[in-house]
Amino acid sequence: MADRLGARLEWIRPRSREEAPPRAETPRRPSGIEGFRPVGDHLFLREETLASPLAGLALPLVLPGLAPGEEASRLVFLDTETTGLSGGAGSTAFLVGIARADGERLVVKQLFLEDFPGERELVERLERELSERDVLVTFNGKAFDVPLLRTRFIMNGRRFPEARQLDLLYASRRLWKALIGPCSLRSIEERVLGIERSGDVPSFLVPEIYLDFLRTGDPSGLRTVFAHHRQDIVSLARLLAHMEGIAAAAARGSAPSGRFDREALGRLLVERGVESGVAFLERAASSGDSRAARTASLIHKRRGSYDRALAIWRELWERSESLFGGIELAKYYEHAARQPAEALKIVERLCLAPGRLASMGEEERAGLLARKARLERKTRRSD
Amino acid sequence: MAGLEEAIGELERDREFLAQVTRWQRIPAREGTFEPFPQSLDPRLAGILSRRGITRLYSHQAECFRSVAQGNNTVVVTPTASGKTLCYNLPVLQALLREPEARALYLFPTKALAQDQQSELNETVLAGEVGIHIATYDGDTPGSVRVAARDGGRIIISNPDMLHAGILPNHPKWIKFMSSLRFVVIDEIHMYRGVFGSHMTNLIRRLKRIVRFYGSNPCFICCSATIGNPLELAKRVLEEDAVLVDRNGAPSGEKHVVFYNPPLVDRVQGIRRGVVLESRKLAARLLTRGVKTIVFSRSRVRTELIASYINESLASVFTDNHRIRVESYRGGYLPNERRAIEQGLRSGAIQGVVSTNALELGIDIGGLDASVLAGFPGSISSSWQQAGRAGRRSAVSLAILIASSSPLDQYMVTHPDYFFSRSPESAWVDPDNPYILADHLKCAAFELPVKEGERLGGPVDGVLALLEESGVVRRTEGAFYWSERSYPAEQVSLRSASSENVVIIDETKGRNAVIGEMDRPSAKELLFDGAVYLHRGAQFMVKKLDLENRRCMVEESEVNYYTDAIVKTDIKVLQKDGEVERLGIRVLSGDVLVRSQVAKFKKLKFHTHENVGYGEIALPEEQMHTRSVVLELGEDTPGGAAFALLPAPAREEVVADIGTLVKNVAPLFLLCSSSDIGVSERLRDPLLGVPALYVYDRYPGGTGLSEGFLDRIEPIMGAVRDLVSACACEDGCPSCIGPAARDSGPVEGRKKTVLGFLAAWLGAARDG
Ligand SMILES: [Zn+2]
Repeated sequence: MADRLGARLEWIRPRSREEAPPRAETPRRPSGIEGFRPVGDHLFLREETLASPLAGLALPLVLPGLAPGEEASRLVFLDTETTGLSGGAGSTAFLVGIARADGERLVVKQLFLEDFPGERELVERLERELSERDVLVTFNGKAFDVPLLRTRFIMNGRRFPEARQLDLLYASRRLWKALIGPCSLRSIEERVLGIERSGDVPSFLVPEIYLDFLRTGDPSGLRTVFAHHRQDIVSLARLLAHMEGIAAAAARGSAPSGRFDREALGRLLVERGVESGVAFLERAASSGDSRAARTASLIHKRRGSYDRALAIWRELWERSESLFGGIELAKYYEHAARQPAEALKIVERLCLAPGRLASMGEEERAGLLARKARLERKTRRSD
Repeated sequence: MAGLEEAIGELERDREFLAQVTRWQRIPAREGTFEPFPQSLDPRLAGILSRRGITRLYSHQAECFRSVAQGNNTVVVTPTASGKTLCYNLPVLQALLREPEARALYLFPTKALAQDQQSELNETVLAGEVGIHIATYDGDTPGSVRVAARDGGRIIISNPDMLHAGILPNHPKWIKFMSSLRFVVIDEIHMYRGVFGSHMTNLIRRLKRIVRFYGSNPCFICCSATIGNPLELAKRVLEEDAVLVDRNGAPSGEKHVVFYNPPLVDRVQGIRRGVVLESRKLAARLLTRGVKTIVFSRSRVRTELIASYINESLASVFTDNHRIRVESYRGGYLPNERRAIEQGLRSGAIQGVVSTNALELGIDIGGLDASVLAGFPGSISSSWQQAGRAGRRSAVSLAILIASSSPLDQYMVTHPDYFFSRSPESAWVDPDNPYILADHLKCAAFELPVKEGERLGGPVDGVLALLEESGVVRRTEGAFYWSERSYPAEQVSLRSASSENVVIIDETKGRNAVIGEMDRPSAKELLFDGAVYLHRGAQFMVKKLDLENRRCMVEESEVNYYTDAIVKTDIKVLQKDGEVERLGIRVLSGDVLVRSQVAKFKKLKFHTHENVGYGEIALPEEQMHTRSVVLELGEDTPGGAAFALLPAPAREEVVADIGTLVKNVAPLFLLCSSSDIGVSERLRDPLLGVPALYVYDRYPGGTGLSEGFLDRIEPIMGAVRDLVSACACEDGCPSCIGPAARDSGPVEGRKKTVLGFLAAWLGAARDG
């Protein structure tokens, strides 16, 4: 077969030739660039110490994934740059950043894979840097960075240290999606953290830049990638600090600065067992945030504090004849207070309000009309 | 059942019917051959089988169990209704019960079959009761179920496309599965032939490479329909040794197989009554006598047509359609529609079904009484599978093959011995097709860097060097690494249908409707600007063939002619593998470059085929590297000497006629369709200096057909001769050497000349 195949190979050549980029045989040593030093045959490290954005914060307050009393030094900010964005065994992480907070300082390490055979060194290095007791702080890391690294470990016959994960994407979505739309780290930097990047490289170009470097040996294009990547890690730390900062302010009873979804923050706090989250929701409610009002009332209702729930519903009902407030009140009168006539009054008002029924969803409308019919029966019986 | 016996008796007395029957074969009922459960069979499995009323095994099931238990790769030949699933489920479940970590992968050629199999495994077979987690993993599997399937599935049921694009490229997610993979079951392995088979071999190479990485070494169990070379095919696909189990121990009832050749309506032109009408008549006749009947037809359109005709003939206000329900069944229906029909057939609510070969494969529709094959399905093994759809285990059944006027059908119906005596068709693959191999090497490099000197089937450093040149892999420190951002499996389809197809768009009165598609080389020959294109009985004129955007705009037309492109094919031998003396001629095999150019077309009047003009075609030349055999008729060989004795003016016609015949007959031996084979004849080949007939593979790079042709050249040429000699026409018809309307005008005695030459050649070959 070998012989026959040899000649037949020529057939596929023309097809591939047109795509063929220039090849370079020059050895590539990016050791000269941007403060990287070799730490293996194909592995380079850049280490920097910055002021920690987490300094002075009493962690953790709001983010799931952190245990009470977790030390900031257990947090590892992690981000990768890869050779492909579609995943699979053929996508490699060529740049892995890990940052740890240490008191006032944030130590940022960027590990750069200068060629594929160095992956083993990279994996072994990461194995030493990471521990199962760490908390990996990422942005979309649950879906992307961590599975990718897990794959790279397996490809090199090692096991990824399965640390807990704190993926800031989820909390970010809750806090900001309603305000800024799709949450990327970039959009949050710009519109929440106020970070402006200049000369940044778009993420989708990163793989091509690295692969070009492998082909040509010219590291100049990588400079922007290194900077981009460093900023990603620093932004992770700043984002966490920002989230904790507004949470701490909310919990203290002061008004946190900046734009965010107050209902979402209140709910996050309550979920984390921070009792002052309820008060925060109520403050938001009384300043006119009806979603916060709704959430606060439902928390009260669940806990059996009907007085406080009722107060909110009445307020909602009287202020704006809110559908939610009305229905909750009607439920309360019908089932808890056993005053169907009171309930019916409210339901009738709801049905009579011009345009209300028409603007409701199919199911909602059916529910309301069924409730009305039932209450009418009940009131007739009790007459 | 009385209905069927009555119907058979009636047919046996029907003279008009019998006059068209070329063979009525009664295959006697056969007793089953049984064996007790193997001693080693896990008592849990024995218990479950007994509770289902199974107290012993068919001999082939037991043999298969033993073979697998000994660790052999095993190929089991399984005709319909022979208890196929137990052949692999028993040994696999046995091992999975004994080894709590062991896992198995089941591959079915289509998604529908795989899903069918899971329900069978879960509901009717065994696993539900033994607590083995079975999971289907295909494109329809929801994301939420996938993780559980990967991590917990002991038996994963999937298809090659999913293995190729979903599982292997993500193998680290399958670490648990891959590390403990003990069995790979490949069902319907005869489906993996030609392009699909060549891909499959490479896919198995990739799978083996990955499981080796995780330290496992699975045993393969393959099931095949009855074909000529099941073991050979399995060995080529697996590239490992295997044990063949082909003595079927399942009982079967008496079977009547009837070959029916519709009556001639025009002897001169060789025109017979159509298959559609004949099958409707027969099916209606059977159905009204209470015989549950399936009709197999060769195209989707015909399926619909026959079903509606049958319903028409049954329609009667007074009898409420005789309370007979007939449905059509084909690809393109929604899954729930198909399930409903299958269910109706099983329960008896539906008495008749007209289907494409979609129902030929393992989908469970219960037993029917009769099957009517509306046209030869293209291969003997398919014919037996379709015929096997009729017949419950121990009851009488009937299968009627109705021949169309195509050469293959006519050959089959006039040579029934051929059909009944052996199973000559063999399946071929060419895993070293460089296009296919290169595509899979990309995928392999993506999955795991390829070490220098590593083999994928054979040595592949050469291909890797080419891939390196094009920049998709990077060679460094003794290995080739994937160095592209893309996901290569996404760009490689395992099926022959290429993305290069041209879409045909009807623009009549601004309709803008897609009415069909065609592969690019065929489009150049049939859809050039100005061509008349016939589609489902309607006539269209091509306005514009836009190859760049792969579309062709057509408009309804009513001209009185059709068009025929004049294709100039130039073939150059690039690399000669070898040249052998076979059958009294020399046969060269090797790599060729086929260049075809359509520059002109003829306008031919309907019915008379009279040439009423020419047109120009401006299309770029088509080039293809592929594999070919060349039949050389040099005068120094007996065959060539016979050719040289022909009168000079007849030679061109004769070699062209033989080309036509070869193209039509060879598929019967190569399990392919006639459009997979290209034929080109040279009265004097410029390179070889002798008359020559090229028979080449029409898939770029070749799929093993030319090798298969060389292997089977004697029976193929024998069949060519038999086809012409048995044809009832006077002097050539579409069923043999083609109609006599050629540019030069009809040549007298064409058929006699061709036959004379074939007799002289093959006779000389036999004597010499
Ligand atoms: Zn004929």
